[in-house]
Amino acid sequence: MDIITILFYLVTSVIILSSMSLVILNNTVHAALLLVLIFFNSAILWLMLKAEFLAIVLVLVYVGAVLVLFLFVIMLLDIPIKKNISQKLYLLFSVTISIIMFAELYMVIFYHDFVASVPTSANSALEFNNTYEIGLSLFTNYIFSFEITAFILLVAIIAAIAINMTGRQRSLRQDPGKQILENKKSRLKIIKDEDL
Amino acid sequence: MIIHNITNSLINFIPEVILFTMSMVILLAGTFECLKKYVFHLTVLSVIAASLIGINYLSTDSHLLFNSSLIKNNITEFFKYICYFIFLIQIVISKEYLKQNNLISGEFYSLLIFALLGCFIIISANNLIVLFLGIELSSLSLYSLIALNRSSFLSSEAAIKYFVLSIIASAIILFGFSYLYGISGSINILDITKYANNNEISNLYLFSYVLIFIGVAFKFAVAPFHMWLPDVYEGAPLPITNFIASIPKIAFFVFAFRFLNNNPIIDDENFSKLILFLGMFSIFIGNLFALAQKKIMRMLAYSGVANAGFIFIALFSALENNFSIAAFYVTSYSITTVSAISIITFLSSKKFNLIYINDLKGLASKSGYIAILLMVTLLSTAGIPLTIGFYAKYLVLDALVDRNLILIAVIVVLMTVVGLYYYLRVIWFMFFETGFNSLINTSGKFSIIILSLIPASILLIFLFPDLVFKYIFEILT
Repeated sequence: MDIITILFYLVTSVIILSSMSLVILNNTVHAALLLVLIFFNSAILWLMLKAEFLAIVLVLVYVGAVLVLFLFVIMLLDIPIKKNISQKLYLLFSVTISIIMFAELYMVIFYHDFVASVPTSANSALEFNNTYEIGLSLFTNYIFSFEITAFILLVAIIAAIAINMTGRQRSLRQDPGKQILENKKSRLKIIKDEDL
Repeated sequence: MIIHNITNSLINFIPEVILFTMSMVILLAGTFECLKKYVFHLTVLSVIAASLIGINYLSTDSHLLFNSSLIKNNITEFFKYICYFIFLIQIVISKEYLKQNNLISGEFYSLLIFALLGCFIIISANNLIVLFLGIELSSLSLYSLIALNRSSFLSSEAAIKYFVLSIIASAIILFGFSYLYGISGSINILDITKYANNNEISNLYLFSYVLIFIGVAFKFAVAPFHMWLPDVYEGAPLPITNFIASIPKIAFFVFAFRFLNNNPIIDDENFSKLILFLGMFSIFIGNLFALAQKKIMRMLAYSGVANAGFIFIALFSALENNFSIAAFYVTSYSITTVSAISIITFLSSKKFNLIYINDLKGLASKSGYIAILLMVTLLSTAGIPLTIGFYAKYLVLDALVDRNLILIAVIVVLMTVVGLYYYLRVIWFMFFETGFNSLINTSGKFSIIILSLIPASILLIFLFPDLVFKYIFEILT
């Protein structure tokens, strides 16, 4: 076993163990911190595949932005840590299902030869600019996927704002827009004498 | 060269580009007080404009757009135009209902157009990444559309259930995609098909297909994966239910077609057995559970489960790449279900929300015409002669008998007969019970004309089924 293989097994076992404990843990802050650990280890996996740009992006975007946001939300919501929830039935069920799934996956994947078909990069890391290549293919071959991703993010923003803005009136403040649009007709109703 | 390629693709993709830009215009229009009331008109206008401009760019040969990430041919255009038709009917009928429930806003219509666009991308995707993005675009918009109805607890429950379960299904699909890429080394679906034809089917290939089709079964709400459907039908605002019941089904049919077309896996014994088993189980569960429902939307949901089972059996029967039966079934089912839900939307577009089946009692005495329209659509979903639904079910059964699976055909027919009970019960309430609830809306001449379009076509296509079926057969083979 060379050092790369040892490193690979080390990193993957950390990922698997921490993702399992992430699901089991009751404390949400601990779970979020474990997610940080998972992302760092996945970044190491990327580095071992000679994809240093993706590794850096994973750390910067997920750990730097998304998970910090997660931690903020957890702290703002102040979710009480529940203890002693009886999960035995669920645990039994989920462990059985996952063992079956694992056995199936193991049987199928272990006997399949991947090496021949997966494309590998021929260039060595020195003469190959990862960022340049990704940028180039992102804006030429995969421009459509890139744009659709932008639209998905737009949908997420619209949804997040719209769900929070509609349906509830939180305060009794005045709405300047509505005030400006009011005119004489909507406020005053002139009734002639004979109608009375 | 690249720029030329992209502009050329954009020209071929112009209806979707129009819809994308118009959805943002509608979103902006919703924020101005003075433009707010034109949001609905803008939506109708943009959908009509997109479909009309799309006609100019129709061609019989197939194009690959955006470096073969999209495909455009007769099949995609046919299904897209059915989606346009369904979508227009849905939004026109649902206007009064939305006004009553205070849901008309710029966000609502722009998210609805995004959901439609997501389905269009699923229909025309030729690339695993684009396909997944299309699924996410349509389902993300749908979750938020359900959740927009903040005043109702049922809507929030439906949104959360749909969100969590649907995300799991998407993850399973993505897991399958990753193995498919790992085996074939390509994300292009045409290349994957080529790989499958040149190589022996390995277990891993089968496994990835099983994962993908579990995801598809979830989106179709086929029996073991149907748990979310009744709650979503019940909780979501009726126009959204109308959308979920029809357009994603068409999109996911094309998804399934793209993965199975010309692929030797359809003849694989294990895989086809899985599809058949899912279909049978779904027909069984759907028809039996629908018997016990008191609420009309839950009943329609379980009938949707049963019909999704029929779609899977039709996919199973696609021997020698003949997907026309399944395509015909999907088209006929989604059009009929749109008609049924639209009529219910129309009936509950005054102050009163039609929830229970016995709310429909005595409808015939008040407005016989609407009762007849609902009767025709329900009979078509049940598969009674004189409607398109009969022809669709007949074709599926015929294909089963052709494959010498007579026992299965008999079971399917028996379950359909069981299913007839709950459709006829609704008709019984409408025609033979008295005591009409005066809060039910029966007025609105324009809406009634729009509503009668589909039942009329249901009857017409039964008389001349070859008109439609021949066309579908031609484009699919």
